Amino acid sequence: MNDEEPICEECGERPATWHLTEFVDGQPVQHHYCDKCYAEKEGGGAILTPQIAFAQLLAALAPELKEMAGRQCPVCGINYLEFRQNTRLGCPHDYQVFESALEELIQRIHGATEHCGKAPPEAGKGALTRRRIHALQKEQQEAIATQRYEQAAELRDRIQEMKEQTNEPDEPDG
Amino acid sequence: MNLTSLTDRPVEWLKGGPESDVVVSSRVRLARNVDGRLFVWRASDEQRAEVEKLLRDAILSLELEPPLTYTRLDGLDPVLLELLLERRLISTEQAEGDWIRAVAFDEAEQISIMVNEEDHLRLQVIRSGSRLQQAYRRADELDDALSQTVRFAYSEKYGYLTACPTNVGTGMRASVMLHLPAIVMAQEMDRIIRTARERRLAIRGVYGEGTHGAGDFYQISNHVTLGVSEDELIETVARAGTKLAEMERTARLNLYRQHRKEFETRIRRAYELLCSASAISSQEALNLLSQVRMGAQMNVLEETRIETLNKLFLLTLPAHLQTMEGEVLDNSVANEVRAAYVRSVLTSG
Repeated sequence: MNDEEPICEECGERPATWHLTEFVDGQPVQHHYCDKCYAEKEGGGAILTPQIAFAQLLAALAPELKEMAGRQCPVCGINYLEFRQNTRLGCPHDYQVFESALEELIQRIHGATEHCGKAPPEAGKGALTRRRIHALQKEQQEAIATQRYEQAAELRDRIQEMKEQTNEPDEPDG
Repeated sequence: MNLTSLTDRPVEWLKGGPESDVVVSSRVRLARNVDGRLFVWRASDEQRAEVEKLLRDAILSLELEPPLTYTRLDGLDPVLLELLLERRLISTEQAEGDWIRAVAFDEAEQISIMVNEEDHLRLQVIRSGSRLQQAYRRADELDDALSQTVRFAYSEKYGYLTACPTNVGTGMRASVMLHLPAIVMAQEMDRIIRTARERRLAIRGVYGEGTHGAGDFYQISNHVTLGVSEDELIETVARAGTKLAEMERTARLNLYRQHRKEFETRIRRAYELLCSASAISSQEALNLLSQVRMGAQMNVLEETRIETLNKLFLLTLPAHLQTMEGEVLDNSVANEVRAAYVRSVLTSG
């Protein structure tokens, strides 16, 4: 989860998990909604299964299409339009080829764009470090919530240290 | 193996387990793809065959004791495909496909590994009751073991790479299946949906379309798979399962205390119907069995045991019924056969 999650502009209370770009008079306007308000705006009450939510997200991506339309993956041959039509990518390499459009899509689906879970044996330490930072951030939030400010400060320092470590040159992306 | 013999065996996920008065089962599914290969839908038949062989070798090299049963699904009798689906060994997508694909599962039917579903590999572990941790540990172990011989598509940034970005990252779907007859009866499903939504969890009816579930079985699962660790996802879903189970128990108690007469009458009527109907559809059977199961759980109904009811949930499903009968049944005949079967099981205790 991001540190700085925007708050829903509708209710002003819950964290926003839906980030939409509307074009008004040719200018992009950003909107941020929480699940509840977004569902209500979209005709409320419907359960958003992953498939339905994904299709809706793709529909909202229309502006990106112009930019991406020309790109094609050298490995599997799909272009961005085909991806949108099938809602599936053609091969692992597509995550690099269509990265900029995917980044936003993935952000909307998951509220995050970086893996911090398990890694296979041959992988580098990136995800592991992020997982550790993530865990420390949770501890820090709990410490703040229970007013253990000294502990929270210590954690803040540890997190800072770890973040600095990850800014060192990384292995190339797999 | 002869798949029809599966009907003689109980399924893992109806075996009871912790909190199984409400939490019927727990499941962890991991999605993986072979590095350097096209995703299933984009690949040619030849490429799919190559991946199937590669993964078959990897799965068989696991050398589990007892060994996994590996079954090719292309060309399989549709009734047997549906049988596997009813037993939750394969997904709907896997059952409906028409390309080279397979499933490997263990004798206990806790482990199920699908080859060439939406992703090259969909590894699943199911346990009865509320046992998400255990299910995850087993799935994790199997994933590690397979990683020794297969290089999975992975990037530092996005984690495990999947055909659909909705699964990228951990590639993990953790879910619990809940039995919520009282919540449904008290018309409080919107509370459940709200609770699920607040925790960024998806909820759907297990038997049926969309949110309504015949038999009052519901599945809650995570839909976020990136930016969280596997442990966090497990914890979130397990906690939600426990919370929703509490809500169901409270609802059952309320129904019993505040509407006792109606409650008992309703349960009784469901039981009597099951014992006497001359024809009954699968949906009807699920709904009535659901009422009776709740009654048995709460000791309102003592004529029948939970184990018996759990068995009936499965054996009244279309493919199971047909397989036991050993012949193709058209709908109305199936409904009569089902009714006869239910009557005989219930009246013999």
